Amino acid sequence: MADDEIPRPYLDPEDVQASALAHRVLFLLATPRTGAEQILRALGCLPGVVAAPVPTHMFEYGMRRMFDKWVIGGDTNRPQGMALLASDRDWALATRLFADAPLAAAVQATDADVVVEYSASHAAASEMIAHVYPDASLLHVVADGRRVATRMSAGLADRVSAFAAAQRWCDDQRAALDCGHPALNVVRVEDIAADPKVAAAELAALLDVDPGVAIDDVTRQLEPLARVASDLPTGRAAGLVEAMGADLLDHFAYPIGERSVAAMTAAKVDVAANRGWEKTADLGRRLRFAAQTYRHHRRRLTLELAQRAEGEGLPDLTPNLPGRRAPR
Amino acid sequence: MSSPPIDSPLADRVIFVLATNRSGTTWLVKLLDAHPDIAGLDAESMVISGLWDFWTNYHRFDGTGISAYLAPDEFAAAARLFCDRIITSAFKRHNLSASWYVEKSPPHSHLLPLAAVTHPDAWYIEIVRDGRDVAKSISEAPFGDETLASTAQQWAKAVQDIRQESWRLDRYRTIRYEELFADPVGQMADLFEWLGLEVGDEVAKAVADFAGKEVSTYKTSTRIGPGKWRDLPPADIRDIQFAIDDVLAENGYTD
Repeated sequence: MADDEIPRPYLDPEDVQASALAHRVLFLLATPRTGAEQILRALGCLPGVVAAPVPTHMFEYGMRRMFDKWVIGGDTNRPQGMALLASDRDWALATRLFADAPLAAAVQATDADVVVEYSASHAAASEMIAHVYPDASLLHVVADGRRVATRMSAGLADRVSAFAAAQRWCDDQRAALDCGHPALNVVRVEDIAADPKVAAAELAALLDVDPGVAIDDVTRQLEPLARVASDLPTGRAAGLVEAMGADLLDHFAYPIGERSVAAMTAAKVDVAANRGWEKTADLGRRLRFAAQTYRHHRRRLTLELAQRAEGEGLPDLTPNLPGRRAPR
Repeated sequence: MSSPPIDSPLADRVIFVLATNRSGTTWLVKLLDAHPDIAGLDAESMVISGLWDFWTNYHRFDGTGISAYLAPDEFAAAARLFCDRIITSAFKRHNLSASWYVEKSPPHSHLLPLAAVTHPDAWYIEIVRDGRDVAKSISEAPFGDETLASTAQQWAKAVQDIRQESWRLDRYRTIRYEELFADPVGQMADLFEWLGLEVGDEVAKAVADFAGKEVSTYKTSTRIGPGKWRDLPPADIRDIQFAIDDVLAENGYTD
């Protein structure tokens, strides 16, 4: 079995209580430019809750390598790695207790009951989180991928290509949905924006916290999410999200409007080209050319039929066909 | 002497054997394991390697990451605790009766800044073997799919990385493979004395019994011992020399 197919141990349920952070952690999973930071700040307003002030990045840039070194060369006759020393249970507990260290520091510094943390890389690492923090709560924050990908590929700072942005959004959502964590909750940014006050109450309930007077502060932190353009972008990044993630958009109840055949074909060609499928991309480009030539010739045919009929005093055969110009 | 960053059950009793692959590290672990107070497994734990991304996370330049939450001594303590838990688990799982543990993972040769932080109290033994023999041996192993020159450079990089970072290690010693091969009992007695461990006749006999045994071979060459690089074709020897002659010379391999 290849190394990445060898299952890594999960934290034993009986060992959760050995952690000072047992049942006291909430991780936000979200693609960048989704609005997760705003939700993090809102949650930090709740009594007894501390929002980790900066991302730890500790799963993608830390825990992943620890998982990689669990076993190496598992398909050879001389495997190596920590799996040859420690038992599954001891290793899983050791990784949990090590991962606790930074978040426990945040809790101790503020005397909080719960810590909420967001790192943009957590969505991709959500399966690892399920291994190490089966007792934590996960909040999967989702926004319309067309908007998210367009934001990620616009602007100057931290810009990524439209394809990379669309791919990232799709990969993050799939990773979160497939992580198998028992306490995965999903919230749509659009729903929060529609009614921040209700959303604030629901977020407090998720953490089993009575917000009290803090509900106003939480609501105030969520209100900027409502100040988002209501029109959906239609550019390249949006088209790529529709081409690659139509199932995800449907899953999260984001309707896909009518798009022209040409736009959909262009998006699919874009996907093929970015994935290095040159023959497929070429086929798509030829299809687009054929579609453009078809429309051109269809228009010409319509006009010629109309002109000939008019010239010979015959009824117009084409009044309702596309390309038919209105009579002068 | 440096103290561990926590009150560790393995304080002053962890040995790291440093070198690249095919340098005699497994053999040295077995020789050390001949002492009743030392236990080792035929396994590369990668425990420091597993922590490495946390180390680079800790040193992010953008103000994010775990350094925002942990002071350097807190990071060191958490990392040492992790390592102790892994090694302690090994003692339990494999019923090891000794109180010392010897560990060898070739990648650790390149990760000494982290090892020095988690294990300032450990004993670091570098085994240096003729880079030409190492290159030949790696190229014959199942994992050796590169050119002789590049495998030779792997050896050179490991040697240079260890030397570059050895100033961080309070307890660091080099042993030459060729000298160990020539006089295993004498060299090991010296090592045990350095470690502060008693060496009686039984230990000397165990070392002598084990010294001539083949370990960790991939059934490549027909004999054990130094100088096998001389069996290489002249063109291959030249390739290796061009790649690493400076490091060979620095380490006394000038024949």
